Amino acid sequence: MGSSNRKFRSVIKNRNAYFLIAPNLFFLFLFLIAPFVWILFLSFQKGGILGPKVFVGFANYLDLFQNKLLLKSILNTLKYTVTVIPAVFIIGMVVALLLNRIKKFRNFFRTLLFIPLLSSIVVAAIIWRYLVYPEYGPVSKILEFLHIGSPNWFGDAKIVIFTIVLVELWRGLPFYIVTFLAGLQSVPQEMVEASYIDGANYVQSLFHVVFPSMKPVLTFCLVMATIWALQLFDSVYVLTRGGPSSASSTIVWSIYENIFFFNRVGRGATMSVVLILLIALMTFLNLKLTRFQEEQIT
Amino acid sequence: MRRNKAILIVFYICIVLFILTAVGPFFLILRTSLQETLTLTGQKNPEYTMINYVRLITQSKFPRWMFNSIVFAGGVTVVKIFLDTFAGYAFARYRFPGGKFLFTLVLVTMMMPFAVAMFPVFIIVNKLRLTNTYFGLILPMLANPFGIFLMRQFILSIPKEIEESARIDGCSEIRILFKIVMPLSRPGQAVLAIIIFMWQWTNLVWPLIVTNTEEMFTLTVGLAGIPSQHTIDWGLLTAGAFFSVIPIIIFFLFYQRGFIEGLTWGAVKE
Repeated sequence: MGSSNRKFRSVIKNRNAYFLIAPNLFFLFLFLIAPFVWILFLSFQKGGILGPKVFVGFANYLDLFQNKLLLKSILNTLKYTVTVIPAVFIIGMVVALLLNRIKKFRNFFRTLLFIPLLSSIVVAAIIWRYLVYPEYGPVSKILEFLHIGSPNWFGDAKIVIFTIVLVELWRGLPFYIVTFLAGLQSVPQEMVEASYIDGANYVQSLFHVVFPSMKPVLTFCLVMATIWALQLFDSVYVLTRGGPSSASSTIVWSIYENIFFFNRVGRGATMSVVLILLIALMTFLNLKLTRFQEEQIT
Repeated sequence: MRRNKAILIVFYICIVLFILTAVGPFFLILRTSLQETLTLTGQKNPEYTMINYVRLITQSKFPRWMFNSIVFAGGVTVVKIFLDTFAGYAFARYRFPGGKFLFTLVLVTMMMPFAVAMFPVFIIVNKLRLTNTYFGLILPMLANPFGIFLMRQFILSIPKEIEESARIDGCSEIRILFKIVMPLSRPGQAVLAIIIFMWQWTNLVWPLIVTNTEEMFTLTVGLAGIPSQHTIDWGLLTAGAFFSVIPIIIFFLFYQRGFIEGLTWGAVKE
């Protein structure tokens, strides 16, 4: 009795805190937590957007393994993820290292580099669709001038995912460059100099001193980049609508398509659960992987 | 010494080339937007003209989309600034039963992608009869835990003593919140405002689902849907694209420290 009484008194004394967080928790619950639970239920049902729903057990999940289109969407998403992540890390880090080495105009350059991030994917898509447009797009003209044929950027099933990677890279890289640069600037300069005195060359000092000491930044970027990549949707919607013949269909695209075009809510919900599981798994792996390296270094 | 200088010059050349690929496309679409598209071939008339911008404003719903985007992104930003400062303050300063659990819950929701929630949210908004309204656009976007976390961390870095001495002077809790905590957390709020505004200004999926008439489209939905028949009207499209990034680029040039601090904040200040 005594302890619950004390707890009750603490609740009363701190009632302001509950009032202050209530509105935020209300919205989080109504528009995020409850929908998540609801989606889990829907993945065991069949039915249309507004029509009656029927409980079907694991039928949607079994269907998933036989449906080539859904498997293809998952595969495309993974293909995109494993392409875009090394690219942002390598290119982003090279540019950040370059910027870190120069002193004059560094902030001015950083400002200019940042600008693509300010455009929405819709704007980025318009820009790039124009640039590579056959015959009169500037990039097509350059390729023609160099006697390199333009690939069929959006029509070739083998290429289309990489076209999307290029557009996403153009828009997304500034985030990584700026973040990596901030990380590089937080590395204590004495440590880097000490490693040179110990006879390390530039690359050795990077891998043994600089990268390990900016590991929180790298881990953060890896986790976020993975989560964002697995949710690829905007550029698919604007550039290809999943085509040609589902070659650029992703998980979120197929959630959207199944629910809002085909009126197959159960299938969309099942893909949503796949997305949740993939994000959880990948985040876990990322954290595990980075900790593993930490043990190796120390 | 000479070798170092040569290397430095190579560095500068690499960076400038990279910047050209980042910024060059904007100049190319600016140029195209200032030239008339010939309807039959899709080629451009080489003379410069403002005709595309005039058409964009008079013949398309572009001004309305711009207005909708400002109401949507601005609305979410203003409401979130208040709600997140309140919640951040509560998590930073009060020790209350259930506080730890609720804060963990907030952190967990950070991992929940909106793509998963979008269908149930659509149904809820539909049941509330808010489809195709500003409230329908704004309210679901308030369910974003990022700002709670950011404001909590920011308020933790403000010294407690100011609030405590105000309390001793007999200041009410509401006055402390509005006269002391709100002004002191302004730098954190500025960073948060920029991030939220940018997110919502570029948000495509939710406006796409919840709006269904051209009058309620935001810029992203409207631009994504500008019809492209046999030949694409590049003049009009590029004018729309350029016009829609200009406000945010100007905003950025005036306040770039806030943008960059805001984006690197999550990574560097762990």
